[in-house]
Amino acid sequence: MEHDDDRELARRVAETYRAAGTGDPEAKARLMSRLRRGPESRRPGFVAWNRGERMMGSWSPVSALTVAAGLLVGTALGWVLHERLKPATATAPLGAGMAEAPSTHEVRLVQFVLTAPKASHVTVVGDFNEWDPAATPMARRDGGAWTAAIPVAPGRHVYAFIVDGDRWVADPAAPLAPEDGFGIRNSVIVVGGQEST
Amino acid sequence: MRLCALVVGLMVVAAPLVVRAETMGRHTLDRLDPATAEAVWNIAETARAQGVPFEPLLLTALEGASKHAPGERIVAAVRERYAALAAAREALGAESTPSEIAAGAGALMSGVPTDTLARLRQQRPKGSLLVPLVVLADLVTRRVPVETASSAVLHASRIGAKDADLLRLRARVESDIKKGVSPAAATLSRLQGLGASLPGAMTTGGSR
Repeated sequence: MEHDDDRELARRVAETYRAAGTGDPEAKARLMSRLRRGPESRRPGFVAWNRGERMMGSWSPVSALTVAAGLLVGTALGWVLHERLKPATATAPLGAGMAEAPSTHEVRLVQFVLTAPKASHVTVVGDFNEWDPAATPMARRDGGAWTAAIPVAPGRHVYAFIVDGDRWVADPAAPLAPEDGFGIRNSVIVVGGQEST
Repeated sequence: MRLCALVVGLMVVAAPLVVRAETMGRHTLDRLDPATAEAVWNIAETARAQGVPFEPLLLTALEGASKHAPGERIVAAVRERYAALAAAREALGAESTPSEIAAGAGALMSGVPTDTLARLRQQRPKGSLLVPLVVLADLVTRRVPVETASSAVLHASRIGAKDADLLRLRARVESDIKKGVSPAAATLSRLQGLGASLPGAMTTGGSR
């Protein structure tokens, strides 16, 4: 829309200039120079915004407030995700229930492993996925091992494997959790927290 | 105008994400029947009001749902967990982390006396008790007598065993038990080995 306005303005100026027949050569040069770079300077985008041209002037206060609110929400969301899901920088040893982690503040990528050669489907459930049997299916590897890598927050977590949809199995490589009242034993994993003396 | 709509749309989408990332609330109990969810939520509210971590209670309920436990059993398990969490918080101190309190509750539920938790805290007033408590509960779960397990972890902590040492101790006791050694003998034997390997064991006294 702005480009059309520019072209219309240029056309009128040019007609006026031609109608005058002759003119000041310097003014003509300035005009031609202006016409040549005119549309470029009005290009929407960050550069035009930065130059303080008409971009801001075309925004209503409501629009500006809305964008500001959006930026605030975006920043908050980014911060929360940053804190909750800092890049998973460490992977627990395969098959180990206890993840070695140098820091107690970062989410860790923990690899769960269960050897079950005859299983056709294995999932890992625990407090890190709200015990949802559908949340974390494991992938079959060579030799009958099943693995899944999950981001886990620092702390103590209880978990188990579900084999073929109905058989709950504790991790043979991890400490056992006490009986929980449901008759099926779980395992415990500690992520981080190994800094103390 | 389109930009405004986009921004508003982003806000609408982002707001629940922010809230969900920050809290675990009533909505997490949607997998339970309404009566069970109500009972569990009431216990969780009581816990929260007392400064007891309530997320483990909700997770216990969800675990029960996944294990297809009946509602009354879920509520009973949640009540039991709540009592253990409250007792663990009292024994370990109000400054303890939710993970420590949860681990302490696990130890109590496996039969460890509250006194052991309080003594562990005295030994490590500032350090994390997460691993000692997990190891303690594991030993008891593997039929190491409570007194033996408590003494072993307290002793190991007193002579300067680090978390990694405790984890190694646990793994070796487990291995010995699988080979047929009695749980108590395995624990005492491995504890002796741990004491010999720690440089501080000779100077802290009372360890040999």
